[in-house]
Amino acid sequence: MVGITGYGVHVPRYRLTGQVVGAAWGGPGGKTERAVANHDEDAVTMAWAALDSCLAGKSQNEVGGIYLASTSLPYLEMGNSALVASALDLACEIHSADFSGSVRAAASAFLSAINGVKAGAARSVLIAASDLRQAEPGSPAELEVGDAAGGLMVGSDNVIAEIKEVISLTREIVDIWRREGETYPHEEDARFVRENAMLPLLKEAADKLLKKAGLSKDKINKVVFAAPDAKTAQTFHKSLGFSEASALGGELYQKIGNSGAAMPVLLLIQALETAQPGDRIIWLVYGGGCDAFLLEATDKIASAPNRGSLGKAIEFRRVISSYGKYLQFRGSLPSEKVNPYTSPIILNREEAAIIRLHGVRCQNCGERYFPPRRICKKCRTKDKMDDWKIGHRGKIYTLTKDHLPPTPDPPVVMASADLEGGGRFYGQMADCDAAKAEIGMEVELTFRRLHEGSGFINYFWKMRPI
Amino acid sequence: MPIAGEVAILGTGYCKFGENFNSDYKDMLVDAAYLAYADAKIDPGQIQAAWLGTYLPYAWGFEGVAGSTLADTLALSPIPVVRVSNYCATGLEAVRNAAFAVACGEYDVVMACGVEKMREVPGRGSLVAQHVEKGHPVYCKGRTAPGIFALLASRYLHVNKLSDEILGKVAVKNHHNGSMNPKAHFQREITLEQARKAPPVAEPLRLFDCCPTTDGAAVVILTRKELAQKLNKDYLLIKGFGAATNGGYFTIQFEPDFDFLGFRATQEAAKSAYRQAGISDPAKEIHVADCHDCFTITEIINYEDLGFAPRGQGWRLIEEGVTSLEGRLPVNTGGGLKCSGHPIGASGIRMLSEVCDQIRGRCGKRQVKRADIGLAHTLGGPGTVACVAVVGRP
Repeated sequence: MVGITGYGVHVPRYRLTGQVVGAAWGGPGGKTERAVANHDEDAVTMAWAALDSCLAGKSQNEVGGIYLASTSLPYLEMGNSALVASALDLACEIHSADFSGSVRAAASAFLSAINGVKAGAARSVLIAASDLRQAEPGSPAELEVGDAAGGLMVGSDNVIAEIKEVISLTREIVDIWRREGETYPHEEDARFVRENAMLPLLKEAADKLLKKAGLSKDKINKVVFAAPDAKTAQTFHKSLGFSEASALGGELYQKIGNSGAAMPVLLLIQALETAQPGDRIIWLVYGGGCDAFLLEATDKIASAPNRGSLGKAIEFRRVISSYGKYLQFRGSLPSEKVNPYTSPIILNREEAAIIRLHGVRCQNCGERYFPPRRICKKCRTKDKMDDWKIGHRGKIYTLTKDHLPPTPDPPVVMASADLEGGGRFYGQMADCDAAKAEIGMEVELTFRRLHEGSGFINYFWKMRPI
Repeated sequence: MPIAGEVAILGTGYCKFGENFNSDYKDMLVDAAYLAYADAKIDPGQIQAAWLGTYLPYAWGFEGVAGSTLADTLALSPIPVVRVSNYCATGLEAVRNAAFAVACGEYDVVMACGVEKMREVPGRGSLVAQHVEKGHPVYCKGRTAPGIFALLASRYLHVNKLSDEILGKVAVKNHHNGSMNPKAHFQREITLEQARKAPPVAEPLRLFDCCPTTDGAAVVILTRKELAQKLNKDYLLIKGFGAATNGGYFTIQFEPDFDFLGFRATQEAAKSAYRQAGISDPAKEIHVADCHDCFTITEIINYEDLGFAPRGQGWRLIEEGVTSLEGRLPVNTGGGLKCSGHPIGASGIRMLSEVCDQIRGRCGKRQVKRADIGLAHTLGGPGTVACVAVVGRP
């Protein structure tokens, strides 16, 4: 049996509300809100967060591949998935690939993963769908899109939802596009796209999938597809002709926003969170065609490790205080330019420590060190160090809220925290309400963008309040 | 021969500290050197070797990469000169190295100079930019000089259940002292209310908890004890000189056994200096001190590291006025780094100069009553290097 064996979500902590947007542009704004990636987040860091959650309680050793799906990969050229793999401390002997091009990227990655596992090429494959959706300031899309990531694990042990049937349709259509160098996507006439492109393809894919599976529409418990907004999703659902009960609620649209390539995966997770054993789920993923999957929840669905995590991620929120701050987060405003010293040569040499968070432990006296060192400070034993993976959770020992370093979100909270399992970490805090940061606070390490010295992105770890 | 008891201070001098927009690195060096020559009662031609303390040439100024800057500027070539750099302990480190050269008998008369020209660039382009744009690509990013010491301030206030008022009181004391020092960067008093309402810099440190970005130069001239009497009767002796290191620049905040309440480098440097000087109870035997108050919290922590107060009790010296000008152990009588300013390479020698001036009774309005034995202390990096010098009457 091949299917989904786990999932994880990451919803950035910040929310842009209709109220804040309305106040900025003079419109009513409305009651909706959307998730906004922090200034130090991008598709890579959000993918890491979703997959880190997906991997909780599982062994990295069983992972044979990692696929990253996104329309907003921070690097147009360079292995984004390899970076996520390294931050997850996955082994070198795995397959990795970036999937992009349209919001269907996650389905393409998912299909490749299924085929890989079926063919015996990997025991398990991780898929992250992660998108930071840019919308033109002042446009209606500004409140409709959202930033988030969803992670899935595909394998054959402990399957929570089995893949029963798959079909793919490919159709060229100029509907939504973004060319090299462009920040914001263009959309062709909305009614044309929705009524002449999306809906007919969703219908066709659903019908062909059901025909192939030999099932009628009333045998389907949940129908999952991404639409531009909650209202359109409702309309589409009616037109597709499935039971009313098989429709998903619109809270992802209203609380996170349409998260592009991540949206289909988050919606699928939404369906899995409430699925009962035996439930049949149809998952339709549109974009340059349409992929359609029939999944069936197994009796392990109710005990899925992350059940309930989507709701928690939606609730762990902090409203962004002003529209100006939102523009700062997106880099839309001119800001103090800094060029911190860095070098890919250094980062490559220190990858195990900087990206994988490996310290060392003295073979002679057991003393642990992060960052790693060659000579033990306690017993002066030289070059006899074992690899030691530092804990990812800890407690703030001391901290300061520093108003000097340039940042889109002052002050920078710098903290030194005692880690579970020994050792200490020192660095910036992330997603942190500075007024509430204090000694004794529980934190976890999270993978973030640190700076863009020398024109490339320098990622590192920050401490996030739990 | 060791330094202690054998190396004499013939004279000291330092230029006006501040934002010296109309003086360059070399002007300040000339001003400080000629004050020191006069104080030492020597002719420049008597200097046989020199040490130049400049922490970061090319970072904010453009001079001082090597010792030849000094030799050329003061027209002392061909004497040998080497540049010394050891974070904020640079100035005293230059003195320590110069003292070794005298003690070993290689030279009769030498000079140690400290010069730092930090205000060729805006304050923000000076030390803040160093932290933002230099250093390890990812470790400690977001760290600033006040941020380093603010970590100690947070912990110290937390552990000792104190409010930030105690920090403000250090600033008030040093501003009071600085108001009587015509060469200080800041020469005005502040109130506790001003200190507590000042904008935050690196919390809990506020504006008045931080030393400024300053230009300055300071010079000390050394000789052997036997020669000193012939050259200048008003000489002083180095009674003890300790230096120590602890921890790495990019790793100390990662060390699990660092309690963020004290600096081992200072403790070890002090221990060594006291042993040489035969001091067993520094709180009683030291009469006047200039310690490294880069930030107000550092001064309180120095009290404990230097043995002026037991662990966790340093703040009481401020609360009880022990370290004020009228107190039992006046500290930072010239305003400290807080008000004199902190041109990094020059600071240690300016501090030594202030202590010598107190011992020699030349401090005018800020002169303390009893000053036979004085101490100068500098702390560098994130607390990873320190120097302690004990000086006194022969």
